[in-house]
Formats: sequence, C-alpha cells, structure tokens
Amino acid sequence: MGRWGAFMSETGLQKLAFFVLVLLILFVSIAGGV
Amino acid sequence: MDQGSYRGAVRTRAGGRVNLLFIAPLPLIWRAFTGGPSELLFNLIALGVLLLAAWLTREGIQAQEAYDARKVARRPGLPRKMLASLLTGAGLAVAGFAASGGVIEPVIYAILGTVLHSFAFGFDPLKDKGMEGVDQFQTDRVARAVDKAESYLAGMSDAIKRAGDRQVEARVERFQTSVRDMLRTVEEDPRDLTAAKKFLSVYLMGARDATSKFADVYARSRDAGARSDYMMLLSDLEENFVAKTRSLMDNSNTDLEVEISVLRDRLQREGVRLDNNA
Repeated sequence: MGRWGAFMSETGLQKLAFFVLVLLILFVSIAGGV
Repeated sequence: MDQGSYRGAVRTRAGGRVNLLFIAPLPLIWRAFTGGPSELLFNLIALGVLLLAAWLTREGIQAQEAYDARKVARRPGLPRKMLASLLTGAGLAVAGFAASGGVIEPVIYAILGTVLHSFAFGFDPLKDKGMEGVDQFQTDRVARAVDKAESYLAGMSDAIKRAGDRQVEARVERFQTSVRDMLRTVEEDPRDLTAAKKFLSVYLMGARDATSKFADVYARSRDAGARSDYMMLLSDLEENFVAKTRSLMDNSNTDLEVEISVLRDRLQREGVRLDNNA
C-alpha cells in the first residue's frame, strides 16, 4: 500500500473512479445495461 | 456540554460518498418485480451482493482508518475492501446477466466494476506493522482480560438499573463506551495489556462497586448529593480511561501516575478499597 497510498490517496483519479463506478452501478441497475 | 468529547477526532471517510454505493443499486428492486421469476431471483441476488459489497467497503475503510491511526497494528483478518471490489464486480455481472442473459456483457461489467472499485478505494493493508515480538500467547491473555472487563461492565449496567434514573444510566453507558474503546485498543495490540491491566481490573472493579453502592443509596434516599458525586466519579474515570487509551494508541509511555493517584483518592473517598489487589 505504501507507494500506492501516496500515489492514490484522495487524488482526482480516485474520485473519478468512484463516480464512474456509481454511474456504472446506476446504469446497470436502471437500464439493465446494453 | 461535555468537554473534550471531540478532542482529537478525525472525520471518517466512511460516510458521505460511500453511502452512494448503498443507494445506487436500489433500482434493482424495481427491475426485480417487473420481470419474470428468474429476473426476480437474479436481480435480488445482484442487489444483495452489491449491498454487501457497499457494507464491506465501509467496514474496510473504517478498518483501514483504525490501522492508520495506530503505530502498531495487525493486518485486518479479512481484506474487506478487496473482497468488496470482487463482490461489486460479481453483483454487476449478475444484474447484467438478469437483463441480457448473455455471457459477454456480465463479464465486461464484472471487470469494470472490480477495477473501478479497486481504483476508488485502494487495497487493504496486507501487512502487520510493528508486530515484532508479539505472540499468540499474548492474545489469549488479552482475551481473558477483556472477558473480565466486560463482566465488570455488565455488572455496572445491572447495578445502575436499581437506581432507576435514566440520566445516570445514559451516563454509565457513555462511560462504558470509553472503556470499550480501550478494550478494542488492547485487543488490537496485546502489548498494551501490561499498561492497561490496572485500568481493566482494579479501576473497573472499583467503578462497579461504587455503582452498586450508589444504586442502593440512591434508590432509598434519592440523595442529589450522592448523585452528583457519582456523576463526578464517572467523569473522572472516563477522563482517565480516555487519556490512557490515547496514550496506548500513541504507544508512548506517558506516565499517568498523577491522574491515577487522584483517581485512587477519589475512589477511596467513595468507600471503595483498592489496596488488596493491583
């Protein structure tokens, strides 16, 4: 976790990944995907 | 206003955004009950798996915060965040399968979900830190000490009910919370036990005895003086437990002898004897 922690902690990348994940879950659960 | 209850508090990252993970899969309920029986089954499974993943994510973040807060810590028994990443992928795959019935789409969702979740939340700490020289034998000693402390706490709860005063009961509960903080700290690092032993045996026993005496007196006489004395005693004790817990977590050998002697005097004034065991 050492290097990763410094690299990833609360960076924009992390936030972006989180919101894309939430959108993906919403997309799959509302539209069933595809 | 209780002074100091927020001292040193750090905002947890387990709230707020993570709650979105609980909300996002909820539309699956609607999908579950608008399709056929197999859709019902798969969508409910997907919902359950995604909610479990969200819960594990939150637990994992809390575990990591506890890990980061300590100088000495054992790695989590269950790598919760990594498991949550896998479950998020699995949940999405099941939901995708329920909708499409295909194979390719679920696989894509599974990979995307797992990768995104890992990026968003990172991995669990996988190594113990500062655990050299701690053996399994120590953890057994800790388990015994914690059991004993819990039995004192249970005795306090029982006794204070006799007093029949809800406010005092709530105060006792708050005191017990700070004691449990110490128990968790000791459990996580058995080396703390030596330093905390007196707190978990003598002082807790004193607290329990004082509680049962107070409950008897107060149930009979409703004496406001006894009540305020008892509340003061709890405050003193709580302060000491909180301070000791913090010093355990810092792993420093801060000496609390001054506070301890004040506390000892206090307990003796309440008629609790401490000299027969240490």
